[in-house]
Amino acid sequence: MFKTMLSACLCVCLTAGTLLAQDEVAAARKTLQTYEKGIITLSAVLKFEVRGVGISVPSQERKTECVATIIDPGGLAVTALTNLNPQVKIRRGSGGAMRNLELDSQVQEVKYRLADGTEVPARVVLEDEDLDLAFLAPLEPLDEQTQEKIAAIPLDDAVSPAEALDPTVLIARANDDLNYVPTIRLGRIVATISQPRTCYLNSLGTLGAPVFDREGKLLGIVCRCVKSEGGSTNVLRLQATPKHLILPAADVARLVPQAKEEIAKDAEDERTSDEDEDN
Amino acid sequence: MNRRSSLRLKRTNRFFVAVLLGASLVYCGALSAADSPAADDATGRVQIEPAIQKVYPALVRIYVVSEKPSGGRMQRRRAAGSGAIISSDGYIVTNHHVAGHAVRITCTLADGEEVEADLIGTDPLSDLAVLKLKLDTRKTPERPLAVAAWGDSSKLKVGDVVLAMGSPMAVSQSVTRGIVSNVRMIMPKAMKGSFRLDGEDVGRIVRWIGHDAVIFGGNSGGPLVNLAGEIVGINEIGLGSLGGAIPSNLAKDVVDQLIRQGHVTRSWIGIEFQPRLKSDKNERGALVSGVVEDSPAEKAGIRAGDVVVRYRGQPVDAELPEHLPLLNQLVFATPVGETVEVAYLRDGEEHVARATTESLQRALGDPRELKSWGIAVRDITRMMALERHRKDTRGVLVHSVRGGGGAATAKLPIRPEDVILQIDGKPVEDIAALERITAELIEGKENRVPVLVQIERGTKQLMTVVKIGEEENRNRPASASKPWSSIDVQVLTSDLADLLGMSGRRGVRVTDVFKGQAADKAGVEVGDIIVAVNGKKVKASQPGDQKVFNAMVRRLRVGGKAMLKIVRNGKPLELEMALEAAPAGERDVKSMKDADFEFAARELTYADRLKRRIPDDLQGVLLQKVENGGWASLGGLRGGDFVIYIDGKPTPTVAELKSVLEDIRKEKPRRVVFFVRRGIHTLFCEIEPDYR
Repeated sequence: MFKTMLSACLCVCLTAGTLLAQDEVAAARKTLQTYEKGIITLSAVLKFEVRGVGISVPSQERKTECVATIIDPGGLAVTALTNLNPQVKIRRGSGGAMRNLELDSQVQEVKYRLADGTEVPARVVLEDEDLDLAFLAPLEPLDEQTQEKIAAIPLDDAVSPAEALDPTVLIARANDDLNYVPTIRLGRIVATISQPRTCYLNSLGTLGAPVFDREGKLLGIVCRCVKSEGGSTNVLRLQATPKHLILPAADVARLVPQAKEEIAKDAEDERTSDEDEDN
Repeated sequence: MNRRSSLRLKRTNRFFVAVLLGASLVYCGALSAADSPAADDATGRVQIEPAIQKVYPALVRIYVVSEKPSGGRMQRRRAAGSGAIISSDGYIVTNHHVAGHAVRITCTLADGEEVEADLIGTDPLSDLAVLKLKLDTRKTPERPLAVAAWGDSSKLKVGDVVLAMGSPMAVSQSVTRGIVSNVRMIMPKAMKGSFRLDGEDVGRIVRWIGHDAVIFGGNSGGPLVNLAGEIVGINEIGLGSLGGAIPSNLAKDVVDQLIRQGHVTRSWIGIEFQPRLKSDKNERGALVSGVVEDSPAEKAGIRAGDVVVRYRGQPVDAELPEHLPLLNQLVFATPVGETVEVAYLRDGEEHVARATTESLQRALGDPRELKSWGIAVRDITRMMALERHRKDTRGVLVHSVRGGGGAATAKLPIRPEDVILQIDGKPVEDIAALERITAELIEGKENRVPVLVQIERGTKQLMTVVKIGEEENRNRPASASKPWSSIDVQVLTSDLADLLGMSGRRGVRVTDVFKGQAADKAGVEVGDIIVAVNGKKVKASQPGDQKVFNAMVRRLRVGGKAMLKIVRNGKPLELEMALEAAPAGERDVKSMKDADFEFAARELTYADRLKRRIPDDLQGVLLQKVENGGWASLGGLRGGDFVIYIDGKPTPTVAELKSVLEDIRKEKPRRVVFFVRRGIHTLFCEIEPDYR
């Protein structure tokens, strides 16, 4: 009798677990469906030059592609600054050997590649090295047709705070080999970090991609918002600084007004210079 | 030999030359210090003195800025070498590998005078180049030049004393002494018998004079001198303890042609020779290893396996690899267009073929950058076409592709080794045609123009669309405006807290207060322990918490206030600090580039002043980048220099720097003096720009 009851309980638990997992998957699929057009591929050319005492390496140019998240119907997007700034990448990824080298980096020829393959020339409007964020905007205001090809992921409908082992949904895009198809992965918060700022360590991540909770609410953007200090050169670091950090959406949202201000400033500058040319 | 294996050989060569040269230096250094009985020998001095007197004054140290294609651009590099003045009107002989790709040449004469020079002609096959001093740029143009005379290299014997003269490692003119070690030195088998420059096998024509007078990088192009004070060779390579010089008789012939016509004319019939096989019973002749398709030799019926015994009536013999350069010299020296008789043995019988010589073409076409495409290209020479199994030389070969250019970002990106055949249906015969068609397509267009391009990739004929035109402007984004603490801090670790009598406390200790900034105005002092900001505890107790305090401040609003809870000398204290925006960073300050002086400069940031300890009252701009090999670089300016004034005019801001440079551009003075601060030192740098 006891054995029968135990078996029944196990069956119920397993069935419930399966159903729960199915629910989770269904919800994640819905999130993907809703926001697929909000995940774009960003292509840019990085030009960089390494300098140091007695060193002057010829400048190098590399085309790069990464994921960005549309956060405004006008096409404002955000990605991890690390994706676009090798200076930041090298500074974070290297220890003492690079300390005496200077790296001048520039980003040019930025383009959004939308879900249907449309390319939209864009530019970086604001950077925050501290939070590892870069905000981007289309060079020209988007026409109605293009606006329909994107979906803004709302920052103001974000969830907070998350806890360890909360399930997460990461949406990104594959690279050109796989024709930029949208990708979706289920993960979990591995740790909540409070120092020097609140952020979450996720079990998986793609820099610049959004991470949602099970309900489809935005948790934040994947970036390297906690920098490696480099540490003591005498200490063998057994583990690299985790890369799958989620910066809460509220921290991203706080910078949006500044990004919009920069866009307005540039538009005004352009208008003034057009007027000067007309005169 | 294909391009890849040629490159590998080049690397092997460099490696060998570097290692063996290094070894040679050690060996010779030891010899001269301890074993050389002639080192202090007055007789030896008497012996070499006249030769030094004759040639040393004609020695030239050569600084060049060269261009080489890389990454879709012509990249500049600086190099130095040696040379000798060989005529009173200022012609100089040096190596092709020193100056053959120079876009700018400066020569330092033996008395230290610096004179600019032009490249008159260059010959990669013999690794020789001729420069001409711009005598009008001399301080006293009428002052006569010292001139070195050519000697007869065929008279050299093993054991003859020779002097290597030049500027090793670009030091001032120097002389080393040695003996002729070998009068028919070729590339050793370990280096696969080949030394290639611009695709040309130098060992195909040159048989070097091996000697043990020490030479090093920088000696290249310098003369090897006999005791009569004559140039008997041009130093070029190092093989272990031996230097290798191009014999003067070959060099003089090449130099005369370069002076006369700017290039060297050579004949070609398309035979490739190798030494006779050991199993070959013939006791004379050179084995034909191959005949180039469609060449005069092939048309004349010569085949691989034939043994050539006479060429133009002259007996030919190549039993050893050392004989081949002389045989090649013989063929190359034939007048172009002459019908020559080639006698050869086939199956033991002698035959005579008649072949009309053609002009020998270069192995590789000259590289050129096409900015509007983002590629570096070459014309296709006959040899390149043959190696690529192409029927003709039509089209333009892509050498390299710039990451961000139109060619790289095309949907079917153009790759190195592609051949551009057509643009918008128009055939592209060569670089000139490509440039002409491009100019027609982009003229007057503000945006990039999409063009239909037909390319050849291996055996495929592909079509792609490339957007050609101006490079897009760089994107300089703004940095997020956030407050800053205007202090430096260290974590109050538990150890530190214990010994400071603050056990159990967490927070940060102030290590620096930036003068005149918000924290300074608020009264924060070095040694203060900050334990809370706006009522929130500073949870810092481990080294990893270094950024906690700054992160707390950066989360606050610019224009607001921060209440700092401090412990000073054990007593609690509260200070109100205004939250000011962090000072502009490198990317936010004004910057500029100058094409004439070839540098980029920017205004100082607050961090620059702190880091470099530049006092507030000292105004200037920072040189962000000094173009490698540019005028500013040649004049001694370096990235990181702080420019205080130019020609006596202060340059406190980028706007004023621009204005000073504009004035200079109008007046075009020969020399411009920059006064700069470098570290704790100041210095004057004299720049001699070539105004565009």
